[in-house]
Amino acid sequence: MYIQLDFESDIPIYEQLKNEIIIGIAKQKLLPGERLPSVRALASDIGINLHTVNKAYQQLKQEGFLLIHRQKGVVVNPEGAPKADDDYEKKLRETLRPLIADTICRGMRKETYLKLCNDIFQEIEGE
Amino acid sequence: MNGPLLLSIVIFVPMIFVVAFTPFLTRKTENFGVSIPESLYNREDFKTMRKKYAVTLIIIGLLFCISYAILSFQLSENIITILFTIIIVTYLIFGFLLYLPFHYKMKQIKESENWKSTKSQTIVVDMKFRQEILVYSNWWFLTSALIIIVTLLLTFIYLNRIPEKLPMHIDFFGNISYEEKSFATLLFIPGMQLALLVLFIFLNLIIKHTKQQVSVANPERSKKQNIIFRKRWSAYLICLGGLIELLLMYTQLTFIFPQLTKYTEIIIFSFVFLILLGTLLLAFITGQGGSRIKLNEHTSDQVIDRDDDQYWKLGQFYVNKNDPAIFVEKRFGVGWTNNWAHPLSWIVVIGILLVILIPVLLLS
Repeated sequence: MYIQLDFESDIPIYEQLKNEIIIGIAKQKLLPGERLPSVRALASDIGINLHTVNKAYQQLKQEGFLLIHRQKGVVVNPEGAPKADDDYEKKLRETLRPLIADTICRGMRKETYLKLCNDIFQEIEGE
Repeated sequence: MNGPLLLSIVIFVPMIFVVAFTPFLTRKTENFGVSIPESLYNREDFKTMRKKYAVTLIIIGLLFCISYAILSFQLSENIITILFTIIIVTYLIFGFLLYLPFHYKMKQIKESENWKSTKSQTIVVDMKFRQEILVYSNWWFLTSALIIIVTLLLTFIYLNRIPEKLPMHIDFFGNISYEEKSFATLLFIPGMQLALLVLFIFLNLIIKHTKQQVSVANPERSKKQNIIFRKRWSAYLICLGGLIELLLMYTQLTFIFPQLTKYTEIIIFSFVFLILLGTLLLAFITGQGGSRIKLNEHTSDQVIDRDDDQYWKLGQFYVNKNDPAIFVEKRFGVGWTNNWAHPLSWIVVIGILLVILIPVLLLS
């Protein structure tokens, strides 16, 4: 599974790395229980500081996508990420609100926005 | 007098080829140590630069060869040995000096044409790269280990046949200096075999662990090329290791069976020839990072690899203190080099030098 990082983007590298891994898991290119490269190996492959990779891995661990074992290393959580609950929905609503407001201000139609969401779902779920 | 001359020509000519054709062996994302979009590699002016560099170095190399050959008939043996070393070093320095104007010219072209700003600069990493088999197993070195064991066994089985004085040092011309027979002198060659075995296993591990370099424009192809590249050099190391251990075993055997020495010239000659030919073929067929391996896959023009020219001093020395990698693929050349900003790089280099120098110092 290839991940792509843009060094000129405004999004920090650790966040891009996080996003790519989450997309990989969603696309089932990274399967539950699968091993990811160690912090050192990935940092040297990308050519960035160890801390950057460590930060991404730690946050993904916190969010339940990854497990970090002392012996087995970094693996994709075999039980999958925690299921979306009420709390998650509330948080998602908060994240989406300003984004939707932004699109309204710019005069984008609701249908166009929903179609965009639909396209992204299809692209990731691969149907 | 013809033996040493022939041997030095056999060593020197392949070297000229490798040095002169280096610009053709690099990855197609680089030209004279400056990173370029892969689609521009075959541009006419770049082609001309590479040809000019190669032709110049071949002509100079041949001139070196001819003058060396003429001189070798007139000078004394000791001076010629030194001369040969000087000529090789001078030639390498010359190659580097000739490279510099080409490097600066490329930098200038790059600056004025501004490729960076039009395309997005990204890096691609395969998360499953480390799950692939990248090198042949170190167990293959068992053959080398076996050769060492056989050498030791033969030494102790035939202990009584070994003469009291051992020829311990042979120069370029076959002049021999002798030492007393003792455990130290008898174990010298097996010790060297062991040190080399350790060194080769270490090098195989380096090939396995170096940074993956996947090209953004064509991740799948460059990944396959990179894996083939690593595997071939790993196989090369295993074979080279075996050959050198055999050569050392032969040397030890000449202590036991002095009549073997009449084959020494032909054996050394064929070993050197075989090793150089193998290296040359491998370098030219595979190319740096596998760049000369033909695999059909389409290339994207929309993206270019991240520009890391700022970390490549003079286009050849990698200095990046944010990169935890110790070993990286060379930019201008075939093989690997160090990240000189990493302190371990220096420790490793000093370590390897010690492994090579200690036996030399012990002897003298």
